[in-house]
Amino acid sequence: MTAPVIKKTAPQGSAVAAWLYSPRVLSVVIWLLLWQLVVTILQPELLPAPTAVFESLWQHAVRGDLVSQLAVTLRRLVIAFSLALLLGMVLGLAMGHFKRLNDWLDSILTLMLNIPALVTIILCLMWLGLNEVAAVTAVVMNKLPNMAAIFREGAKAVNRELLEVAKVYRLPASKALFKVYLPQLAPYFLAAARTGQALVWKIVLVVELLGCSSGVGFKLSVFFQMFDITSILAYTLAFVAIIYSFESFILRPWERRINRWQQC
Amino acid sequence: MLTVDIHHKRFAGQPDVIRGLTFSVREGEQLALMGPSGAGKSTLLNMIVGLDCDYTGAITGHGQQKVTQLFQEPRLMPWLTTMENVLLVADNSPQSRDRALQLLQEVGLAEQASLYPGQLSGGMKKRVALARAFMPAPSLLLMDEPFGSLDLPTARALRALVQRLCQAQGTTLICVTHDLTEAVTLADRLLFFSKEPMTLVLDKDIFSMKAKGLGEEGIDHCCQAILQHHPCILRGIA
Repeated sequence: MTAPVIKKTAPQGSAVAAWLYSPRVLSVVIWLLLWQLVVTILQPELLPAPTAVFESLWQHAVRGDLVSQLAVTLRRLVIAFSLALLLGMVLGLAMGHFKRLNDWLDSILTLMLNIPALVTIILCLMWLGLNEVAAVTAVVMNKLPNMAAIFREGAKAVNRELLEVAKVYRLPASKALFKVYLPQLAPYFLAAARTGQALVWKIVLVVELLGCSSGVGFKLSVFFQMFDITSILAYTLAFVAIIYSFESFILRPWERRINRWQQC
Repeated sequence: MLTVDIHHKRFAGQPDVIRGLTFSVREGEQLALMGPSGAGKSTLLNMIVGLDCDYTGAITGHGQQKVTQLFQEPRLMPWLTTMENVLLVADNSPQSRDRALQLLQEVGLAEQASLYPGQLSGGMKKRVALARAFMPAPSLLLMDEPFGSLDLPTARALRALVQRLCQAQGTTLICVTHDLTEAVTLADRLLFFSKEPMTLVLDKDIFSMKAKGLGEEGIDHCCQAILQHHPCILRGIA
């Protein structure tokens, strides 16, 4: 007989302390201290101190420019990421389940996976013009093949025997989908979300840099022309912090939640 | 009454697996299907339950019935707890939860209701699958060598449990097995098939033969008597 599982809950204060002293946080603190030390000792012209970067970050935030530009970029990112995930999932699952469709689309998918991101971006901007639709389309076109490839593997790995259980017991379609089918795809969904969030924002910045008149990418191009390294680092820091927060406070807890049966 | 009348069943590019197979099962009857490996017994179960519809002929009388199946493997959802696995085949009403808990008590797993399948032993998983199979109060239960991989005492206990639950709910049982003891323990009637193609060679009423209530000795006597009169069955025993 297996012993019942006893859930241990640590006090909230100690959890925060444990997080603060975790290697994940300490490594960042040490890295910042080293950076400050190097700048203090060597005083390089092309590398501002972290304190200067944080001060610039504060100034940009207070002026209101940073927040509005971040909002624009995040809106593009969310729309493009959601579209790429949704379309990639539908396409990938269809290819994984229907062999004939896979035979027809496999070469095209491989081709799209190997087209450099920059080429897709330039072509979208040339074909659709320098507008919002072109920016989002360029990001989606870059990420969709990757998402489709991940979900195609997911569809192939689905356990048919478990689907038979749903059929034999005549489960309602929604129950079969959410209790039997989709949980099997959870690892692939996580992989797609993780690679997606790691890459999509970088592509969004390139698109904004090349063909938009707003957003973090556009601002970076302005700072580049003004040779303002401190502002470039301040904007980068702000954006990376948001992406890191998404990973830490949404993606990881969600991953823990859907994988809790594996941790027992 | 369930009536099976299959003219032909074949897989692409292969000769007939089943040809001219006809038999019927009365309501509440316990039927054991035996035959050599590869005869098509599992295929027949798939056809009855509706997983395989690619055949000529007809299987009638089970359309309105609640049909459930106990597979060779437990086939539990690893991401659902024991209780959730049983409730998977029912609604989430308090009555269903009560019934699920009652069934888990019957199979001796009420204390493990919140555990995941990965935390259970092979025998426990089979019991959860058994509770799930009885959750919808089936009128027809199909079993495909359900206890083949278990040790003898566990298999014996589970057979007794199936018998008890079938009798309590008036469930018709069709059980594919290679184990004559299992067939005699569970069934009132034994069908034996030959292979290539699958055809019925023996339809034996064992209800009157086996001395019910005499325990294992009675079952053993019955098995020996069947083997004496029908040595062909030796070809279907694992």
